[in-house]
Amino acid sequence: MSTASRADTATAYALGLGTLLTLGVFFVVPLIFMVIVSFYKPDPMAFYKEAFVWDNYKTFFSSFYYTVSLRSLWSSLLGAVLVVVIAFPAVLVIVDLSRRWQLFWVILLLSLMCLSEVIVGFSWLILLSESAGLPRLFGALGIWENPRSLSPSFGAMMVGMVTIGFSIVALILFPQAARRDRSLEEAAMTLGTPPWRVFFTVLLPTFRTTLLSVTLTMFVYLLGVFVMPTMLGRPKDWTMTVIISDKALGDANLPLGAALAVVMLIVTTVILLLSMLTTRGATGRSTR
Amino acid sequence: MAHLSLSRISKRFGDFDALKDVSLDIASGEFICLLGASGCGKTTLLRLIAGLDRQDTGTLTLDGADLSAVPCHRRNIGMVFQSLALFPHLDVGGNIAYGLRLRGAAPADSETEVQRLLELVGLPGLARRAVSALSGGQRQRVAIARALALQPAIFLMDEPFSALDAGLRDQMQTEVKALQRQLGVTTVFVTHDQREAMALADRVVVMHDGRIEQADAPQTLYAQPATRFVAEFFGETNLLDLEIDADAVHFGEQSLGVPAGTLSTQRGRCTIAVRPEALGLSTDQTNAALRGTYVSGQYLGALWEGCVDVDGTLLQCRCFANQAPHLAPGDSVYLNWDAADAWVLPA
Repeated sequence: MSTASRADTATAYALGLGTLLTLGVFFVVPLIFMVIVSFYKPDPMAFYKEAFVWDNYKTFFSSFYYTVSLRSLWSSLLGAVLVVVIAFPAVLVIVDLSRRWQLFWVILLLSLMCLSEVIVGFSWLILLSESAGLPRLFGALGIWENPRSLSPSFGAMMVGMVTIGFSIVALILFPQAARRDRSLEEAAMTLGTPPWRVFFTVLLPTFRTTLLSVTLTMFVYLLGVFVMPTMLGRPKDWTMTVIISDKALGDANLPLGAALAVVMLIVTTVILLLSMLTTRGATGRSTR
Repeated sequence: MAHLSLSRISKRFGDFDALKDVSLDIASGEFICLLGASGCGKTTLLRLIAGLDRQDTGTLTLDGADLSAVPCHRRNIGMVFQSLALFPHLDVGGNIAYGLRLRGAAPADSETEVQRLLELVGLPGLARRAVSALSGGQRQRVAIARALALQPAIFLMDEPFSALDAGLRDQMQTEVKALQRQLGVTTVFVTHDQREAMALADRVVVMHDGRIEQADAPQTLYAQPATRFVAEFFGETNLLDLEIDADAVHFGEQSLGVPAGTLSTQRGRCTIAVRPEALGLSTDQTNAALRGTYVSGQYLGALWEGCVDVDGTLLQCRCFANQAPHLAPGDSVYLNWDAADAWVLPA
C-alpha cells in the first residue's frame, strides 16, 4: 500500500471513529441511563428515587400496557405496509414521467417531507372535520346523508401516518426505481406477460428485498410517531409512544416511562432481527 | 417459421428521426443481421418488430397479418436482450419455464420442456442453478433457451454477444448459427460488428442514419457495395475517384490505360471501390499501374498491411505476411488490380 493510500485509510478510520464516538455519547449513554432509571422507584417530587426494583416491568405486563404495546406494533405495521403499498406504484409512475414532471414530484415530495408533523396533522384535522372538510363536501354532494367528523378515529390516524411516511418512502425508492433494468419488464412482455401482470411477476419479486427493508424502516419510524395519534386518533388508538410520554412527563413517573421504552426497544429489536434473518434467507434462495 | 414484412416504417423520438421510410422483407427461416453504427436505428427497428415501441407510420405484417396494433405480449416473439434480462429472482429452470407457466402449461410438461431446451443449448442439469452463479456464456444460453421456449414465430437478438470476450463470442456465434439452422426460426440479429454479421447472416441489412443502405448476402455486400457508405463501413476499402474517357482511365495526373472490365462502359467521373487484398504492390513498373510512395507497413500475424501515398491519396494494400515486399518508407512503388476487382459505385 502506498503512503498516500495509507494516509487516506487513516483519515477514513479517524472520521469513522469520530462518528462512532458521537453515536456512543449521544445515543448509547442516554440509553444506558434510561435502562438504569427503569429500575428506580417513581417519586412525584423528583421524577425518580434511586433503587433497584422490578415493579415498573411488572406494571408493563398488566393488561393495559400489554394491549397498548400490541396496538402500537399493529398500527405501525399496518401504517408501514399501507405507505409502501401506495408509494411503490406511485414511484414507478413518477420515474416514467418526463424530466420536468419528475422534478415537480421530487420537489413536492421534498416539500411534504419538510412539513412539520403538526402542520400535516392539523391539515387532516380540518379536512376530516364535519364543519369544513370532506364530510361537509360529501354532504353537499348528497353522497353522505348525515355527515359527521371523521376524526378522531383509527382511520384518521392511519391517514396521517401514511401522509408523513409517503414522501420518505417515495424518496427512498425513487433512485432504485429510476435505475431499474427495464429490459426485465420488456423481456416478460415478449414472453407473453400482459403489462399489468408484469408488476406482480417481475417488479414485485425483483424489488422484494428493497420493499421489505423499506417497510421495516417505516415500521420503526411510525412506532415513534407522537403527533398523529394524539391529534387524529382516539385515546384508545394511542400508541405506546404517547403513553410513555404521558407517563414520563404528564404523571412525572420517569421510571415507568423508561421501563415501557426499554420493553418496546427490546420487542422492536427482536422483530427487526427476525425480519432481517427472514429477508436474508429469502434473498439467498432461488425460487421457481 | 414466418415471413415478416416491413413497409415504409418511420419512427421519430422528439426531434430525432430514428427510422426513415424503412421497408424490408424477411423470408421464412431467414437469418437477418441488422448492421450499423450506434444511433443508426437498428435497435429501434428490432423493438418495433417486438412491439416494445410503436411505429409512427408504415405497416408491419407477419405472414400477411398486420401486427401494427398487436401488443408485444401477443406477438409470439422470442427476444434476447443486450443485457440478457434474466430474472434474478428465478433460477435457470424458472427463467426458461416463465413463459410456459404463464400460458398455463402443466408443471410436469414445462419441466420436460426446460430439460429439452437445456439439452438444446448445451446446459443439461443446470435447471436448479441460480442465474447469478452462471458464467457469461451460460447466461447467454439460458437467455436463448428462454426466448425459444414458446416456439416463437420470430426470434430477435439485440447485440447479445457484445459483452463477451472474443473467443467466447466466436463460439456463441457458431452455436447460434447451428441452432437457427436446426430450428429454422426466422431470426433478426442486431450487431455493430461486421465480422459477426458476416459470420451469422444469410442477409446483412446495413443501416445508416435511420435508413437501409443495402440488404444483401454478405458476399454481395462485400464485393458489390451499393453506396459509398456501405463500401467504407462493410470491410476496409480504397475509394478512387476516376475520370474515364474512351482512350484512358485517369486518376489525377496519372493514366491507367484503356478502360477495361466494368470500367469499359463508364464515361466521365466515377468512383471505384477496390478492396486492400485486391491491390497488387510491386517495385517494378507495369502497365495500368498507379505510381506511389510507400509510407508504412505492419505485420498482423498471417497478414501484412501496407500504406501507399498516391498523389496525396492514401491507399491500403494487404497480402499474406510471407508474400510481403521488403520496402522502406519513401520507396517508389506501383499498385495495380484486376479489372474484375474494381467495383463502380453507383452515382
